[in-house]
Amino acid sequence: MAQKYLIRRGEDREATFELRQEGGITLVRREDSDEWKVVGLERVGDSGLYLLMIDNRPTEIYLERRRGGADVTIGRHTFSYDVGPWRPAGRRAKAGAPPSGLVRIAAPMTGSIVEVRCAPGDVVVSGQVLLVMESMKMNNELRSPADGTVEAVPVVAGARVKANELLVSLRTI
Amino acid sequence: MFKKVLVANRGEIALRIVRALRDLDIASVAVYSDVDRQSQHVRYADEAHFIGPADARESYLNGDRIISVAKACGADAVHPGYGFLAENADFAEAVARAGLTFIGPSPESMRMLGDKIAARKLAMEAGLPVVPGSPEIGSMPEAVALATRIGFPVMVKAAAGGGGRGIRMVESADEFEDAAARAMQEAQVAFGNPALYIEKHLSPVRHIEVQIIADQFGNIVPIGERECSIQRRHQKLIEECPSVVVSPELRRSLGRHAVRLARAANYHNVGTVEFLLLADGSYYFLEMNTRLQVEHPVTELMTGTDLVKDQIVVAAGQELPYDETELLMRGWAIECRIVAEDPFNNFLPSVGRVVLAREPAGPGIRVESALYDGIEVTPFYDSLLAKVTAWGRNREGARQRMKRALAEFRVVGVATNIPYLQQILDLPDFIEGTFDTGFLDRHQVAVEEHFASQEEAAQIAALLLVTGGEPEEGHLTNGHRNGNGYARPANDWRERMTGLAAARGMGRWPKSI
Repeated sequence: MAQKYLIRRGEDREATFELRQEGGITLVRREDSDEWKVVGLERVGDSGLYLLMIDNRPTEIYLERRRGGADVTIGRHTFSYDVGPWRPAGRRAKAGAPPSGLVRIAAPMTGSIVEVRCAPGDVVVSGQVLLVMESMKMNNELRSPADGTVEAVPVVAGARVKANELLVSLRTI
Repeated sequence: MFKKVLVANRGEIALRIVRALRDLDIASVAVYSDVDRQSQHVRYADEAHFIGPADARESYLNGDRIISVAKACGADAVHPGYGFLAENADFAEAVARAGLTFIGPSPESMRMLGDKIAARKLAMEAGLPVVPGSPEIGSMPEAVALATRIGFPVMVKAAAGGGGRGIRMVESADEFEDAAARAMQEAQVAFGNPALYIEKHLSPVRHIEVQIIADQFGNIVPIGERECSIQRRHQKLIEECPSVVVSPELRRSLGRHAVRLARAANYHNVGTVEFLLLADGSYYFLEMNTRLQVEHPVTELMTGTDLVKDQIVVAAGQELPYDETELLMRGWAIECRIVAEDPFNNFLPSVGRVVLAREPAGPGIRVESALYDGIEVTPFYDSLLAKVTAWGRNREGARQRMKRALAEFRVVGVATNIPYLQQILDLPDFIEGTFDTGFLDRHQVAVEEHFASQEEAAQIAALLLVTGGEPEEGHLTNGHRNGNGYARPANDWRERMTGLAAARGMGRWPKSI
């Protein structure tokens, strides 16, 4: 009996896969394809290196399991996927919608604040840049996850912040 | 011969030197900064000493500290590698004053050749063709007049320059003053010497260099040429030995000129004489590097020499063990420099932890690397992670092996230029050997193919990992087997029977323990 899974990357990139077991063999099919592929995944030794077999073609791949999904490095690309059971589109959209109420926007990593582009009371829209953070000599823009009103900005430009420290709290509509 | 040698460097070159010392049965002394405590050059040396914080000025460039460590541990010589103190004549002099041997040329030779203006003069006196240019530039109006006479475009270069710094191309007279002022400032900051000179900008040219080695008895041997035209912003990326465009006659002529310059500079130890080669076969002296070069492995693979070993031998006052006629020139060698720069993000240096490093191997492949699982790539030193050198019976054979090696190389955690190198190796002009120093300007990084199939493989892997019954964090079991799973052999019977833990196949190292 095939199980359906949804694999998401970022906000809007997703794919549906079906997975079934048959006599000790694992088969996978992309939803939009007719072709079932015989697959296998084995960890190589004790490192994060895995051997992925797709129809007897070996590929080395580097995997890190994390809550709700996995980070996958293949060639020069690293993809961060959320993997979960597939649900009908309508229910999914609802589940994926930003929560209303107070949203906490925290620092994704340790670094310093380059620029603050919002102030308490500002009305912001989803995707709007709220502040710019510098980490490892790279500037990163932090964007609003939803439409709303800025409640508080407890940081100023130039401040050093630790990972997960509160940067902006937002009252969503 | 020396009993103990201190290696005043880090990374892959320090490891390379430690290995040569072991081959010579000479004790090696590594030095390390704060961030290099676990480095391979430390682990593989006979002795290791801490010399200071990560900032190179307080560690690997701290000559006084390095010399005092060398004296305290009873070393008789110091090997500078390349970069850091390798071309610092004052350091070489201080080493000698401390009663130790500097493994390199004399401070006098280094000074003569390290000052590019003095080197040009010396080369002209020795009868080498020199790029049309100027002595040190004095006043600006005078320099502009000189540049106009030479003919634009010209290169403005720092007398003390090197590594692509302090060089500027100037297209016309009205740009000149501005560019020269900036080059002067850059030279002052980088080298503490603002002196500039002008050279005609020749184009298209190939960068061809001749390796030489000389002992202290006046024997000077040219060891073939290297083709180093594949450069990005004056930084070499791919080097070859020999060059497709160098005929045996041209090789002899280049070699003779290189030897003539070395003799004029009273040179001993290894050195490299760089030339610009024009399409019509004429060539001009560019500069001489008074040290071992990053790309020395291509020459070693081609000629069967061990330049690091040989430079130690001649520094110890022994005679060169070979002359020009005894060198074999066999096949073809290509080297690729693997750097922690992201070709898909404007070659931004990439720092961070390398969680997994697997180096290629197999027929014809040599890897110089100091990578290991867990190494931190820091912003303190240059971005060279490893060098891969491939040897083949001919150029195409070497190229194929290099392609295989790059495909096998795994570096997870920091971005590297490997995908770009793979693209270059497949360019038709590269395959044919038709290129000049402007090649990489014309061939920028291409968008990568196979993205869709890579993403699908990644999705399948993520799906199998998550659904394979593995816990979210912590201990991982084997997930979906490939249909022909087998039980792991029980390995603990040995321990029960003999009281010894399962054998580990580690070499006994260091020798003294």
